[in-house]
Amino acid sequence: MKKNKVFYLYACCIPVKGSQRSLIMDIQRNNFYFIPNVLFEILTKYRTKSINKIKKIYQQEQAIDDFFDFLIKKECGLFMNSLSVFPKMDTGYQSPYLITNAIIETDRRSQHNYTNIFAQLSNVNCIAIEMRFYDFIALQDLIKIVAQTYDSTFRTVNIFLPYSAEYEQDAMKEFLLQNARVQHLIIYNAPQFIFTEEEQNSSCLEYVPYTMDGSCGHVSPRYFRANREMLCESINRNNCLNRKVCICKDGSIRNCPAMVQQFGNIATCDLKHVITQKTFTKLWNINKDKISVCSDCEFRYMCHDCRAFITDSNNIYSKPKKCNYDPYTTAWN
Amino acid sequence: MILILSTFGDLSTDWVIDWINYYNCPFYRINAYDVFFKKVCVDISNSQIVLENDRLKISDINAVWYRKFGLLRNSETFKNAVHAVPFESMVNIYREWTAFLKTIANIFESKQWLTHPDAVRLNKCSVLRLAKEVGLDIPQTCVVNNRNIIDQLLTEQPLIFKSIYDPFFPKHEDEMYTMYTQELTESLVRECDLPELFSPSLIQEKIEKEYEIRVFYINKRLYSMAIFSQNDTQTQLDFRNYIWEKPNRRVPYKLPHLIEKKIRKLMYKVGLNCGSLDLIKSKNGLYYFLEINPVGQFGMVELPCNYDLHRKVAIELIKMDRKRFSRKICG
Ligand code: SF4
Repeated sequence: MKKNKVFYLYACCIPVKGSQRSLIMDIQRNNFYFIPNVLFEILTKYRTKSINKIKKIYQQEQAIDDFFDFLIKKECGLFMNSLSVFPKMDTGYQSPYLITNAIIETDRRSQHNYTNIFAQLSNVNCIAIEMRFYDFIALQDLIKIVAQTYDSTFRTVNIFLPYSAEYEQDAMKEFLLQNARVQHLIIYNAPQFIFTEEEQNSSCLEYVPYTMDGSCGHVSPRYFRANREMLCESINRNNCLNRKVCICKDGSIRNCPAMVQQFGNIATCDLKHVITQKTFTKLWNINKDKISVCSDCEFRYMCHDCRAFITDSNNIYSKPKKCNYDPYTTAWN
Repeated sequence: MILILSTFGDLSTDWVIDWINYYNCPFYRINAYDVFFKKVCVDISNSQIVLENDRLKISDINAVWYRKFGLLRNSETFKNAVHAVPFESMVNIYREWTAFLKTIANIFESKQWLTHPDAVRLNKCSVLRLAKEVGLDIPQTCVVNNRNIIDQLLTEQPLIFKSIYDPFFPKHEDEMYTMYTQELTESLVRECDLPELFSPSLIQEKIEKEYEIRVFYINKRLYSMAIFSQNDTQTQLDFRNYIWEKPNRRVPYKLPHLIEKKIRKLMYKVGLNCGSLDLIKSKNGLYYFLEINPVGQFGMVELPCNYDLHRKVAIELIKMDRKRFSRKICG
């Protein structure tokens, strides 16, 4: 009965081929399932072939049945008479924002004019900012800064603060209630873990016993994300640096805090002009398929890239330094 | 200029506006509840609306997007008033409010509308009748008020019942009842001791479905999505009874041309150029039309299918606003 049927792999289950094995990226359930490369071939090259034909091509009965049983158990698809009504999902990437995320670094020596910074970021339709404070800032000063986002284009503001006894929970919760834009407030160097979520506006307050530095560029399955945004951005752009800008402690404009190259200073430059220059945006287009080793890795559309810490500092297309995975042996070293 | 009549906090509106901004097109947004907090003057003799310090000349507007404008009962003001004001007065306040929104809508009568306000109040039964007229299959449907017929129909086929107008959520002693589509079984009829006569209800034959189809329709274009919800009994009847941990599979779908053509005809007949539609692909291979939702949530179709709908809605609005529209953007 099912012999003449074809297998429909749901459009939200994306087969990705690696050097030694493949996987199915389940972008609706934020999950992934390893499959052998031969199954990848069946699901792509022979996508429209009936089960019968596939069995003939591979001269296998049981193994093919087992494959499809596995996929059905994982709810990745089902048998259909035809695939004509099931188009593939478009994996294009579109964004109306010149900048989607900005990082603003501040330490005690910073002389930021926040009104200027927020206005310039709004001018490039930035929708999310992350404010990283490296030194203590009094809560009342923080409130003044955040108040200046009132007229901005920002939908979310995330804030990192170094632990201080002044940042007691009740005061911080009150701060989150008063400032709806602030969705995530993280207090690092804290003595212990505390996580609370505000019911009213689902903002999060977190105390973590970590430091701020070196927290970037790590690669681990813990950080993998299997969703549509990640997939489409990774296929088309650099999934970390695309439409990102950093305003560093000294006001310099960079692609990210860990990059050395500077593109002028926010106090004196027109941000829109800077971030539309080819020299600034060239990293945005380095997608995983252009990066050596990563281009052979089955995780490439759910793995965060990093262009600041790379294995060969002379080759901007080299693999992220903090990745221990070897797709040619499938071992995490 | 594009006028957007919406509601504060509607994300789809925000995203479409982001694209309108991206294309540098002028627009003005009025949120229905603005009138509770802002100074408004609808100046009929001078054909203008004054909102706080903004003066909006009617003649500057070419296209109007009517989206979720004015569900008074969802507003905080209304919820508070319900406790403070006697019922009859509330009914009148509601009428006044509706008339006020209608006034605003009427002023722009001659403009290009994306969803005309007169078309949004659909009657499920009339729409089903029209669907049948244009040649779409519909489930056996009747409106009944007595148990005799139900008992008799149940011996012939499984049934479901749904609201004739909007689904709503009556609250009763802390229990939420939903008016979502439900199966009507003999045991349910017995259990709830269905009286001989009851308020007229919409009864439909239960279609054995292969999957559900949701269509977002805009200016003759259709963007469809199939929803596979059969795996779990909890979602078998209406996928809005959502299971969060294991979301239903929702995938891009292409309806046969003939069905698309009939849907275009149907939308024309009901006077809608935008909205979403529900269909069922039955186990026996037919496409059953179920209903039209005139203020369809297109984010729901957009998210799993990556149809780029917010940009497309923005482009449609811009096109309607200036009939001759640069090719560059349309491509
Ligand atoms: S090889 Fe590249 S894509 Fe694969 S896990 Fe490492 S960094 Fe990620």
